[in-house]
Amino acid sequence: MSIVLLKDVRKDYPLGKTTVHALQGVELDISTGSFISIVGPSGSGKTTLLNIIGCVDQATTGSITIDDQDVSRMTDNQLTDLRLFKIGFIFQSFNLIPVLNVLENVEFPLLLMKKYTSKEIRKKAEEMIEHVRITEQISQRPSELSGGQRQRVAIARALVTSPRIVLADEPTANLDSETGAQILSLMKRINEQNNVTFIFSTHDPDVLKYANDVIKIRDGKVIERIKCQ
Amino acid sequence: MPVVFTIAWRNIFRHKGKTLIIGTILFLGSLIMTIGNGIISGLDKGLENNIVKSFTGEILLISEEQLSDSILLSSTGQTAEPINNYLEIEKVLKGVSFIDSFLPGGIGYVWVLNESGQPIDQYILGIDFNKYYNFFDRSMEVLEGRFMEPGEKGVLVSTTMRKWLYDFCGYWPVPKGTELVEENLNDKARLDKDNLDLREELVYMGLSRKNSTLDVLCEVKGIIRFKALNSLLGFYSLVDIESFRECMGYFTAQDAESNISNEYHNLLSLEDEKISNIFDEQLSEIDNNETINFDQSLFKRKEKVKKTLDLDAGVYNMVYIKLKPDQDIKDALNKLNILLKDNNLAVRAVPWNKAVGMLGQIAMIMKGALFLFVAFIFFVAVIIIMNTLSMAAMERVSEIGMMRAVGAGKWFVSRMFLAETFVQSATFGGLGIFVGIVVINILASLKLTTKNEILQIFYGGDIFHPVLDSGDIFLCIIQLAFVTFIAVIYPIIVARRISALDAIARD
Ligand SMILES: Nc1ncnc2c1ncn2[C@@H]1O[C@H](COP(=O)(O)OP(=O)(O)OP(=O)(O)O)[C@@H](O)[C@H]1O
Ligand SMILES: [Mg+2]
Repeated sequence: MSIVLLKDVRKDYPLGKTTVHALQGVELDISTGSFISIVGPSGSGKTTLLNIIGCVDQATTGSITIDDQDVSRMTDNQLTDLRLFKIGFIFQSFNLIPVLNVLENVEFPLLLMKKYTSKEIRKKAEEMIEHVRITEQISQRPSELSGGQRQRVAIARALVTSPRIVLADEPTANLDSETGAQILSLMKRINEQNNVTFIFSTHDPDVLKYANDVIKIRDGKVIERIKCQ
Repeated sequence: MPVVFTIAWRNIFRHKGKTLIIGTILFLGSLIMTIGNGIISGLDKGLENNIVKSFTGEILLISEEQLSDSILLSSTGQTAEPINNYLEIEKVLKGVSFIDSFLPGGIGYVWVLNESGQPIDQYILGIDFNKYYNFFDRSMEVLEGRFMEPGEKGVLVSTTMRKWLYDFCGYWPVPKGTELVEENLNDKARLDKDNLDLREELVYMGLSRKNSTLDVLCEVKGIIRFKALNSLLGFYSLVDIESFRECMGYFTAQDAESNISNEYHNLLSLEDEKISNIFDEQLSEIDNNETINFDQSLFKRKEKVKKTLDLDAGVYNMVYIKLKPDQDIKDALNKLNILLKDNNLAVRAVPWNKAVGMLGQIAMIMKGALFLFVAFIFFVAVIIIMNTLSMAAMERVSEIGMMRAVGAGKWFVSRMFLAETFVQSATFGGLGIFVGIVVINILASLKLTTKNEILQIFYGGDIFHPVLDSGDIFLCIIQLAFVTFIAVIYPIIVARRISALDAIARD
């Protein structure tokens, strides 16, 4: 069953008098629970593709279906809700709210959902923090954490709402290789335990050890899809 | 606590520099605004107090024929309508419980004769000086010469009118029999000191109702100045009521007396109330048995009666009324007007602020000037806060964009900015208002006095007494909230434009 379905997706950026064709007819079908890595040279369109899947950017043409919903005609509010309830983001630069501590950062998306009581929110957040093994730092602010710890918090925040998809654009780029590997194995573990779909871009060759699918793109086109397992 | 407030509160401490800028602006803005409001409020109350106390009373009675209420300073300079039945009015007013005291007077728009050029126009008040002086709280002082004695004829020229006369006619009025007081010369007159055209007498020309002019020569008795608000109240010179009536072509007490002595000689020996009946159409109804009695002792009384009553038998233009303490003016006006109608007295009651007409508007201009100043402070504050907050929004693009990516709506972002600004505004602005209240109270307790006439208008009197009652403080808070709200609109628009993509693009 596919969770993400892209058909002939194109993305053009106007650049001065010319146009950059960042995506040139991407066809993609990702099934629920996969752990997918998008690889390709710089400027090939990885970030653009993830942004479109994550509903933070809109395709110029083509159809995008996320969890059986056509997103191309959604309003800003509908897209915001879709992101809140179905998608989790992990950023390259972690991007936590600096004035909130670990626990509060993880609670943040749950508060936005307005679905749970504050007790439930606390419980879910603590469980997720436990899950990413950062309980000791629970009341520290992001500035008091290492890069790896921050990324764990970001993962906890992305997962605490039980999203269908987690998107991560080069989640290990700002981490040393050892920490990067730890983060990837954490992601993999959660993927297996919770059946969450992970889609991430990377330059890291080690990633092949974890991914079940590697999608290679170049010049805005999918050129190869390698099944690893 | 909602997470927006947590974020807002902590951001205030995180961005200390910005908080300091906005905080300082909010603090100073509110402080100046509060002090400004206190001064405006004090000016307002001071003006009311001083004008009511020393110039108008709370209520004035004017002739029903009078078109405009602004009898004391009409914009058209039209002559006031006469009141011929003061004695009847007096009887009615004496029975009104909420009236503390009242006093009749005249006001006229006259010309001052100028042999060498255009005559100059001005207002004169026709009064019984001693009664006037006491009724209006002894609110004036004599600079040169002296006040008028009871029954004495003459004029008390105000300093403002002296300057006016000097500027337009070249006259420098001095009280009869006094020397030129050099220190009271203004700068222009001082240069001209040796050639000053000193005047001990002025000739007022009133325009009678039959359009004939009547000249009255008035001896200058004194140069006077109001202790408070001289620049506003000094537009008038004070002339004794009989000279005033002659000048305006009114029926004088002298006229009344000659009528009386010829035709109703005997009646003078009656009780006070009966005298008023001279002007009554029902004169014939007076009981003859009571009246004709050529008793020696009654003749003696006649002298006394004549002295105290004769002035009031003539014509006036208005009656000043002071209410008992804590009377509501509106309420008193309504009651009084009904009473006056019921008694067919052909006068109506108007509130002091309507009666002073343009004079009140001068106060409005002062208030307006202060208000503009406060508004300018607001404007500057709004610009600075708006700018700082917009910059703050720009600097937090990746944080805000991330929130949007994670699922926060535009409304959340707006609320976050509102909360942040609200907390700062409440803290620093609140502190500013508090300090402002303290400053106002300190200023008020200093009881600063001034003789400077321009300052007096800002003070609303000779004593600087800024005040802030709970209504004024509420107004300060509303103004602060308004400023905050205006200042935060643009930054919110900026922040709402930040998209999830911006967070990612910044990576
Ligand atoms: N906002 C933009 N305006 C114009 N061109 C853009 C914009 N964003 C991306 N592009 C262009 O689109 C193409 C794809 O960019 P994208 O960021 O998706 O590449 P990438 O694969 O993520 O590269 P990298 O590995 O360096 O992150 C590039 O040629 C880039 O210059
Ligand atoms: Mg990229």
